[in-house]
Amino acid sequence: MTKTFKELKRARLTDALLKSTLYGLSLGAFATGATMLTLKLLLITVNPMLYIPIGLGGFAIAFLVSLLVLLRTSARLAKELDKKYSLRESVQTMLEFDGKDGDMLLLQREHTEELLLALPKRPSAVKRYLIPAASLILSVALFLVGVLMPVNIDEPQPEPELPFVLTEWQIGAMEALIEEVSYAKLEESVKVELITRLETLLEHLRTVHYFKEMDEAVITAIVDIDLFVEEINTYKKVSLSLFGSTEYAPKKIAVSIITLNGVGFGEMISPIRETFGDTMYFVEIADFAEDVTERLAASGVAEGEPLRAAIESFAGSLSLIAENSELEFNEAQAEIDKAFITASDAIGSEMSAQYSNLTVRTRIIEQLIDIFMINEDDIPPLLCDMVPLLELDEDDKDGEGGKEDSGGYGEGNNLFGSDDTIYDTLFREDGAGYVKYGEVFQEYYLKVEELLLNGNLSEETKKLLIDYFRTLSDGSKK
Amino acid sequence: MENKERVAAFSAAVEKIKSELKKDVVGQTDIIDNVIIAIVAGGNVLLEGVPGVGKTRLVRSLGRVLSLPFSRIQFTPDLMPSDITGANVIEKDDNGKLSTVFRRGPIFANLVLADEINRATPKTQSAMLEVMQEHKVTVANESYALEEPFFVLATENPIEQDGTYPLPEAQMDRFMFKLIMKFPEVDELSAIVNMTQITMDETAEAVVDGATILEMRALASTVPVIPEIMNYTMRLVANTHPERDASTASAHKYLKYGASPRAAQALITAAKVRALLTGNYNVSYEDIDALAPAVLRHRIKLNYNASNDRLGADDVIALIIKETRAQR
Repeated sequence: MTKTFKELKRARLTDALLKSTLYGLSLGAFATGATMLTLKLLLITVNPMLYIPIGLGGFAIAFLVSLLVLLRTSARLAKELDKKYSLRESVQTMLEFDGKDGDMLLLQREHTEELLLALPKRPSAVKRYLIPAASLILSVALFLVGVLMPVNIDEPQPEPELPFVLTEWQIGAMEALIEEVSYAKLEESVKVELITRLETLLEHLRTVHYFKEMDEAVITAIVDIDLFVEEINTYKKVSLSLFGSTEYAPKKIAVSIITLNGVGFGEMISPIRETFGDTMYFVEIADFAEDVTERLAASGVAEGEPLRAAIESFAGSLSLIAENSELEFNEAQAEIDKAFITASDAIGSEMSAQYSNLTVRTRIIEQLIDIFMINEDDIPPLLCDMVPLLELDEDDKDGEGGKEDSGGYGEGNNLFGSDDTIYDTLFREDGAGYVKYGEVFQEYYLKVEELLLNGNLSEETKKLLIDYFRTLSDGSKK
Repeated sequence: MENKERVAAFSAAVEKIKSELKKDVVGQTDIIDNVIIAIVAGGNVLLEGVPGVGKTRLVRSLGRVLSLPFSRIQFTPDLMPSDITGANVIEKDDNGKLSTVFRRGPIFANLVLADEINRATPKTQSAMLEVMQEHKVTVANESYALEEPFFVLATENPIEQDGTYPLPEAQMDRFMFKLIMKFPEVDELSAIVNMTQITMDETAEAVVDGATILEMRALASTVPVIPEIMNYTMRLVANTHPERDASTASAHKYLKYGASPRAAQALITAAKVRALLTGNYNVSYEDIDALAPAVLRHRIKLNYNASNDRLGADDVIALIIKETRAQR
């Protein structure tokens, strides 16, 4: 291969690379500019990052295609030179016999070198790069037009915020509500907390200027009050804990407590009393007391909490009766009756207190909704409204614990009976496996409640969980 | 001598031959060039032209320029093969003893002018076959080699057909070129008349000898040919065969039969010489295309369609060249 031919080839390669780059940039800029312009004209807004792959794609396509077209192999270049400059196949012959010996071949090479040296000078760089440079300039111009063209989108103007001024009536209603709470039959500490929250809300509302802010403040207060009551009321945890028992008596107590009706508690547990009046009562009483104590200990409710303490006290008194072997039957019956009466009073009293908390909380929320005309749909699901549905099959009373209608979690045809099995991976001590749903429902519920109270969950997730457990309870939105 | 000098000597010799020939032959530049190409390539030439265009003069001048033993054979219907090749004759020596001696015919020269070759009978014409192809003469089972270089330059008259015997295809194939000498232009005609008013004799002088011709031939044989051109040449020759499916449309339409492999050999060999003659050091498409009519025109046979479309051999060859090029 002659020196001149090598130089020509190198020059062609450089030319091809430069031109391909220019064409690549042209198409990249053109594609980006055209897309931008079109989208702006169509009033379509896209992520600006989208233009990067468009530009790069355009560059890559044009660069590769141009390179493919402009790049010359030695053979192709030789053919092109022969044809363009009528070199009578001298260059092709030179290339074909490159490296081969022979006097005539040497002469042929020298002759070809002379021919190549005599070729007309290449056009100036300006002439050679005129077209790609012009295309680049035009493409960049289009790109700049695309970038600089203002977007004529009539964006919907935000609705002007409605100004809010706390009215005298609202102030009066709030003060009346605070006063009502102050007279409510609540524990003093609970009362103080609730009043503080309402006063804080009222003070804050005095500084609010728009309805939207007012809405947010009131709804925040509602959620806060609901959360506070949910934290102080332990009846759900206690009920679920006891309902996890496989025995009838603890379940019966759980169902009684979950109704949160202190008045009817005694009636609800009276069948238990009847059970203990029959045979083997010492053993059953002892087992009952032990079961209840263990379950309460595992309920997550603090030791000494009044409701837990009342039930533990009931269990303790029964346990004492069972241990006292000196008691005659009649004496034992009398002791048991006495324990039941005491328990009914103590537990009923605590349930009544928690019921009051709940009632006052509901009253406050309803009043706040009325006073400030809050749209109930804007209020997120409230925790206190989530009450598990605990149903007891009276057949359990004889201890057989039939699967059907043996209590469950849910409504309608979807009964998650306590004997139904699920594959549990969280709470089994011996690892994952099938367990009765009733045995782990409580743990699930408590875990979810803990997450709702303390976990960093999104509003969407919270709503999903609450809706799920609501479906398992009474299905209504209170 | 270095190759460069050899090439220079080649070019100088060609120029000398041309300039000397121009002293006796007016015009006919292409014919002179092609005759020189054929001689250097070692091929025989069939010159066709109307009477008086200078066929015989060209060949005679060539004989003088090349400084080679030259003989002229006027072909007539009664010419016998032995009149060309020679024959064994009985001779009496000085002692009166009789012996058979081979008396060489006019073919034993380096340059033979076979004037009006188509006037001889096929039997006599066929006597030329071995001579032209193998450069030897066989008489009574005895072969006599001809001295190299050896060329036959034959002439024929296309007009007078009475009492002529068309050359058989096999013999036609032995001619590397068939050259058509056209009637001169008016100014050329004027120059011819003026020249012959002074003298009818040829004035060209010997400028090269046989050894130089052989040297030139050896040099030309080393000219390279790239495979693409080799392939193009083979396709061009093959495309003259109408029986080939792959042949071009013109071949199918206008030809009865096509050129032999000798045509391909002749094309490449002659193209190498032409390349050097035109100052190139490799064979080009241009060389092949330029020589194709001279090489192919007497090797192909036109059919009725050609005459119906008033096409001559050169026209059909031009079409086939065009079509073969399009196949590239």
